Amino acid sequence: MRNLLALLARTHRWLLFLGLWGVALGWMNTTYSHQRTAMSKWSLRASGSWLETIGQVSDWAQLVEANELVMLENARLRATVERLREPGATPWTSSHARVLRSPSWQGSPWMVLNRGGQDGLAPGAGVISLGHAAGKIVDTTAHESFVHTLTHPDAQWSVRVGRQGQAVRLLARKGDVRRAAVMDVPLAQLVLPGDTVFTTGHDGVFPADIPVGTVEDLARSGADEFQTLTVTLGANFPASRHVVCLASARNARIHDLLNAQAPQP
Amino acid sequence: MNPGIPLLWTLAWATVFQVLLFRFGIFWGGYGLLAVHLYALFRMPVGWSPTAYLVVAAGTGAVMDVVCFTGGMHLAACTTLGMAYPSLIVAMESRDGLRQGHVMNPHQDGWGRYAAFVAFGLAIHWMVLFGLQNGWGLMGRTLAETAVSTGLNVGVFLLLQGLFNRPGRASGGAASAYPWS
Repeated sequence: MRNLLALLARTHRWLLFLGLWGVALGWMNTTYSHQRTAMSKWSLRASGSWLETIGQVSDWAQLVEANELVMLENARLRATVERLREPGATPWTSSHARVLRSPSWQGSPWMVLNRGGQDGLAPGAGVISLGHAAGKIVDTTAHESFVHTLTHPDAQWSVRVGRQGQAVRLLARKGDVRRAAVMDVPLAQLVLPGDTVFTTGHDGVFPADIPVGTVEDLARSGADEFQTLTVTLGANFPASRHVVCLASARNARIHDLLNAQAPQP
Repeated sequence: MNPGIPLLWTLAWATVFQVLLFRFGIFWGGYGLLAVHLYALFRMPVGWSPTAYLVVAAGTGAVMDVVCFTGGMHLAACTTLGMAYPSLIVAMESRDGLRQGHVMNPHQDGWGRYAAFVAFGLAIHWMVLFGLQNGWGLMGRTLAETAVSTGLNVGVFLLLQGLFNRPGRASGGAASAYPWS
């Protein structure tokens, strides 16, 4: 306290000077509109510059973290590419089917196709509707297939925003057959409404870069470094009449693995 | 006599004349303005504490703002002048130094030295006042107004010193051998 008083005593002239200037500027601010406008402009410019600087520092910190994630992602992708380049990588085959039942407005997450096991379809194949990823065949009869669509609440799908985005999860919104949610998108990734969401190919159901839908809205909680996106699904299930099924030997292997009995010790 | 008393008297009449008469002294399209109240501020004596210069100058500026409705411009300008006043005195003191209570005047300090003293002080005052009035966009006009108004006021202050502050004749009657002298 004594040091503070000593400091005030030593600088009282400058403090008085600054105080008088503050009074003068405040007085001018209440008297002249031109000066008021100028001071407002200076104030806005100064605060804007400060906030921009803070934002740049924050962006830099996020970019550092995002760079690390991207490096990991790149390593994974390189490994995937190398694996796909191996001799004997299975090609994708396509076949057409007609939709007998599609997810209705009441929120049913299932789709039924008019082709089945005897028509060359097998569980695990991906289904594309209107050029967009729509779901996965989970069961077949001789001439019908049962499709687990993107709107099924128990499923997760590996997607990315844009062709260069990080791999994230797409989850259904319960009761909504037109939209889904994309979770855990890093704030460091610039996402805008209208951006296209693509498959990554990591889940083995679809090849990479099949469109899934477009970003409709963004939600940021502020509690963490991630954002949640609302995506309008391009498959348009209520209007879907014809679909394309994509199959590969890998589809069937993954499906068999997922449905295998747990080994007994 | 306490040098503060004639200062108060000078400050009073200079401020009254500035408010009533010289505030209308606007020449050359507004480039030359009169500020006779500053004449009194330049008579603040040597030896005061720096804070006293600041308070007296700021008080004069505040009075001018209240009376002339100039909204803080004179306060800012006079505050800056009061802050710079001790440095101005030190910069202008002669080789022999300045005694306590000395009031800068051309008859003792020299016309050139006094003119430079008031010119620097006036330039500070006008620079702040016109700068606040015009803003950054009219910096050229601010400099021109500062130069013209400083020159005008230096001339007026020298005239006032010549007319009203002439040194009195040394009265040595009691010691003179000649009763008529």
